[in-house]
Amino acid sequence: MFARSVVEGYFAGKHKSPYRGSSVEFADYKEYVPGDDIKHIDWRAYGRSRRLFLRQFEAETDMVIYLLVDVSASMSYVGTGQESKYILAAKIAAAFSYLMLQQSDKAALVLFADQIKRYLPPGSTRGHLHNLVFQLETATPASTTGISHALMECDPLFKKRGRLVILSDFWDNPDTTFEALSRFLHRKFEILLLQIVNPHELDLYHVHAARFHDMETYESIEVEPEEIRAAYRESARRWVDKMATEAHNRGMSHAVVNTDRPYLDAIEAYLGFRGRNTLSTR
Amino acid sequence: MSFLSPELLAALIPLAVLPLVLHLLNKGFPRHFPFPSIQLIRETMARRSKLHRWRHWILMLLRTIFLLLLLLVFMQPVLRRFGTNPADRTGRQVLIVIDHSLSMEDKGDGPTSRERAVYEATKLIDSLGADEAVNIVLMEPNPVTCFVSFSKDTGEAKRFLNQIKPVFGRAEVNLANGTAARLLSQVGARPEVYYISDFERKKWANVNFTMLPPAVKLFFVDVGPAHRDNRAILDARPSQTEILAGDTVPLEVSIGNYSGEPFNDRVTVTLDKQFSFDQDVSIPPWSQGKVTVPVTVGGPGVHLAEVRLPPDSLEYDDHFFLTLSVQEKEEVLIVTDGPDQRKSGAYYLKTALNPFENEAGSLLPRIISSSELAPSRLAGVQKMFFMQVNRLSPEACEAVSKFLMQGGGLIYFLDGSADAENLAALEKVLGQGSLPIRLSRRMIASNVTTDAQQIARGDFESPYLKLFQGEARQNLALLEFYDYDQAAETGAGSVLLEYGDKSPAMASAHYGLGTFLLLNFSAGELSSNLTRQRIFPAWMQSLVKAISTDEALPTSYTVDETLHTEIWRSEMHNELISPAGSPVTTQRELVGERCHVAFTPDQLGFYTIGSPQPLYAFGVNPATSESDLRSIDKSLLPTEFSDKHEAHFVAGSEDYDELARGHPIFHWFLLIALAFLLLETGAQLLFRRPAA
Repeated sequence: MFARSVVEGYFAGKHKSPYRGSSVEFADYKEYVPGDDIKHIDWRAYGRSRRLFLRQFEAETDMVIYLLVDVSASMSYVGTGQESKYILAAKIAAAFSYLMLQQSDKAALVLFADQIKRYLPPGSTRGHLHNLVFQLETATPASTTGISHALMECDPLFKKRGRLVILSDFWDNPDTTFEALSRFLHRKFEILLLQIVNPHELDLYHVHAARFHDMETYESIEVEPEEIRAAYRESARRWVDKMATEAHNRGMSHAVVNTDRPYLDAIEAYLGFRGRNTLSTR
Repeated sequence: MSFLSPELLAALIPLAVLPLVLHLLNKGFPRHFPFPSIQLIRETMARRSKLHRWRHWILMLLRTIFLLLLLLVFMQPVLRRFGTNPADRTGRQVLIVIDHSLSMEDKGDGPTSRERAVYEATKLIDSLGADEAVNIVLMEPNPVTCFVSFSKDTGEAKRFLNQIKPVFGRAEVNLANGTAARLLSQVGARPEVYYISDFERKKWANVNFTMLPPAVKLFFVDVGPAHRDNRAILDARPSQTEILAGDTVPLEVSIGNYSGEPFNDRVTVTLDKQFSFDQDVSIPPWSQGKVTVPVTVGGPGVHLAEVRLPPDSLEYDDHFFLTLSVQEKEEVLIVTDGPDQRKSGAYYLKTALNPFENEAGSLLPRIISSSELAPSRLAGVQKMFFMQVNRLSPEACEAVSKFLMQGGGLIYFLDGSADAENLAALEKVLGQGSLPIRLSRRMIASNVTTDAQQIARGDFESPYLKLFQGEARQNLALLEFYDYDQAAETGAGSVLLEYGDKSPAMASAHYGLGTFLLLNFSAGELSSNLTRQRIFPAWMQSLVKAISTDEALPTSYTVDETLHTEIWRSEMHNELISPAGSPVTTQRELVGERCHVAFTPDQLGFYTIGSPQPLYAFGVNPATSESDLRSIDKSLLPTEFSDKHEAHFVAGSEDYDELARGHPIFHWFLLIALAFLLLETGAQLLFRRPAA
C-alpha cells in the first residue's frame, strides 16, 4: 500500500529501457563512424549538412532492477529518529519494486549482511510484489556488513543485466566494496548506491561523556563527544565524500539518504539515476 | 620544612582525593549508545595526540596538586631554620646573654650596639609564647641576671632591658657562661642561649662553652656596626714619677689607630679645664703609637689632666683622664769637702740642678760638708750627691745607711781621695758585698789627649740613661774622663756604664727603699769634660728625678677596678664625688690617723675628694682592651668554639619569631597552587581546542 501510494502520485508514464537502439522513439543524432549500422543513417540530415549522422532512439523494453538491501545490524540504528535505517531502506526498496511492476518491469530483491540472507529472483507479478514486501517486512537486521562478499554471491544469481540499486549504510571497506561492484560494471550493470545515514552518525550525540557500542562488532569506545565532534564531523564527511567520489569515478551513481529527510529524496535520486542512463544507441 | 598545624592533615588529606573521585565517578557513568560503527570514532580518537589521550589523568593530577597545595596552606607550612622544630610544642627556655661592655657603645651606623642588643633582645622576648620562659644575663666582669631562675614574666624582662645603661668596662664571656651554666642546670628540655654581642675579637678570642649543658642550643646574634673603625687613647702618663711645681712634664700618650686609614690629627691635653696643650700625631693604620705632649704644671697639688682625641663613633675611649700630683720644690743636698769656688765640681753641679735665676727651678740644691751629715740634717731630704768627700765618720756612714734604707737616693761621684775608704765603711754598714763595684787603683791621666777614657758600653734601658737612648747615645762619645778609678764589678747591683778597660763607670744598687748610684768619674773640670757638655744639667736633673724613691702613684685607673687610697682622719668629712657630681658611697676603714678608702668607679672622668680644690683625685678611664672593634671570624664561632653544641650565627635583624617557629612559606604554596590552577585552565583550553 505504502509503495503504491508513493509511486502513483509521483510517476506518470513508462521508464526508458537501458537497452538502446531497440525502440522506435527518436532521441538524438550521432555522427557516423565506420562500423556503424548504415541503416540508421539519416539521409535527410545528410542532404542538409553533407555529413553522415546516425539516428538514435530510446528503447522501451522489459528491465530488471536488482534491489540489494543491507540487513546488517548497523541498519537497525534508530538514533533519535522515528525509524531505523533499515525501515527507510525497506520502504524505498518497496517503492522501487512497485514502480517497476507498474511499468511491467521486473524487480529482484537481495537481503544481505555479510552474505546473502534472502534472495527473491526477478518477477513482475503482483504476487511477486507481495512476496517482496513480505520479505522486507519480515527481515531483521543482524550480523556484520559484508557488501563485497554478498556481491560475489549475487554475481551468478543476476543472469540478466539491469539496474543494481544498493541500499546500505556502507559501513564496510569501500575498496573491497567497489572492487566487487566493478564486476557488475563490467557486465554493463547500471549501479546506484543509496547510502542510508542517520544524522547522529554524522554528528555525535550532545552529551558530556558517551560510550558507543558498535552494533555489529559489539566493541565499545568511550569518548567525550564535544571534544571530538568537529574532528568526527570532518571524518564522517570525508567518508561520505569518498563513497561519492569513488562511485563517480567508476561511473556509478551515489546518493545519501538521510533518515530525517523524506525518502522521496531517494526516489528523486533514483529518477536522476534513471534519466542519466536512459540514452541508448540505436 | 614543617607544619604548624599538622593535625589538620588527617582532616584535609581526604579532600585531596576529591579530583580522583570525581574523575572516577565521571568516568564510571558515561551514557551508553549503540552506534552503527565506531570505526570513525576510533580513527578520530587515534588522530588525537598521546597527551590528549592522557588529558583526564593530567587534568586530574593538576587538580589534585592544586588542591593538595591549597590544603597544605591551611596546615601553615614553615621552613625550619637553625635546627628549630616549629612543631615542637614544648615551652622554650630562652636565655639571653647580652654583651655589656665598652665596645657595645660604638655607634658606627647610628644607634649604639647596646641599643641594638636591647632591641634584638626585646624582639626575641616578644617572640615567646605565654608558656615560655626567659632570663637575661648581662656580660660584665660580675655578670648580672634579670631573674634568679627562668621566668615567664616577659614584661619584667623588658623593663630590665630598658634599664641597661652604658658601661665602659670589659665583658667577661666565660664568667657569663658560668652564670648561664648555673641557670641552665635548673631547666629541662632543650634550652636556647642567645649571645647578643658585637663579637669584638679580644673579648671572644678564648671563650669556653664546655661548661654549658650539651643539650643547649647556641645562637649568636651580631649587633655590631658594619664599619668598625676606631681610635682610642690607650694610656697617658707622665714620663717622670715625680712632678715638681713649675715642671714641664712630658706626658706620654699611647694612641691606637684601629682603622684602615692613617690617623693624622691632633691630641689635646687640658689641665684643670684651663690650659690646653696640643700635639700633632700621625699613626699608621692598624697600629699603635706614642706621642709626647709637654705639659707645664703649676703649683703644688692635684691637677686634673684630660687627654682628648677628635671624637669618633666610640667617643668614650677618645678621652683619657689622669691626675698629676705636683710637689713643692725639692731640696737636694750636695755633700762635698772640696774647695768652695766657682770652678769646683760642686758649683757646676749646683748650677746644673737649678740653672735658673733666683733658683726658680724645681730643685733646691744645697751644698753641705760631709761633717754635717747627720740624721737630723737628712730627715727632710730625699736625694743627695756626694762629690769630693773626705773620709766619712762612722756616724755619717750610719746616717747615710739609714737614709738609703728609708728610701733616699744617693748619687756618689767617685772623685775624692777617700772614696775607697768611704765605700768600705758604707759596705760595712750596708752589708758586706752589697756594693756593685770594688775600686782598685786610681787612674789619673797624664796626657788628656791620649789617656782620656770614654764610655764603651752601657745599659741604655736604665731610667738613669734615658737621655742617651736612641740617637742621643752619640752624646756619650763626646764625654772624656781623665780621672777615674779602675774597678771591678762585684755582681751586686748592676753596672750601667763601662769604660773601655771594662771598669764600671756607673753602677747602681738598691738598699732598703733607697737607691745608691755610683758615678766613677768626676764633674770637676780638670777630671772630665762632663761639665762642659750641654747635656750635663739635663742628665743631672734626670738622675735626680729617676732616683726618686717614692713608688709612683698611679695617675689613672680603669673603670670597674676597685680603687684604694688613704686620707687623713681630718679629711674624712669630705665626700667622694663622682664625675657626674653626685656623692659616691665608699668603704672606709679608720686606722689611727689614716683612713683607708675603697670604692669601685663606674663612670668615666674624675672622682674627687675635697672641694673646691681637690685633695685627692682619681682619673677613671674605659677598658681600652675593647677599643679594637674588629670582630672575630663569625663563621668560625659556632663550629670552632662550641663544637659540642648545636650553634648558629644569625644576623642581627633576624626575626626571632621565624627562628623559633620557622619561616612561613604558605604564600609560596598559595602561589604555586595558583600556578597549577592556571596550568589546569590552560590544559583544559588546550585539550578542548578542536584538532586541526
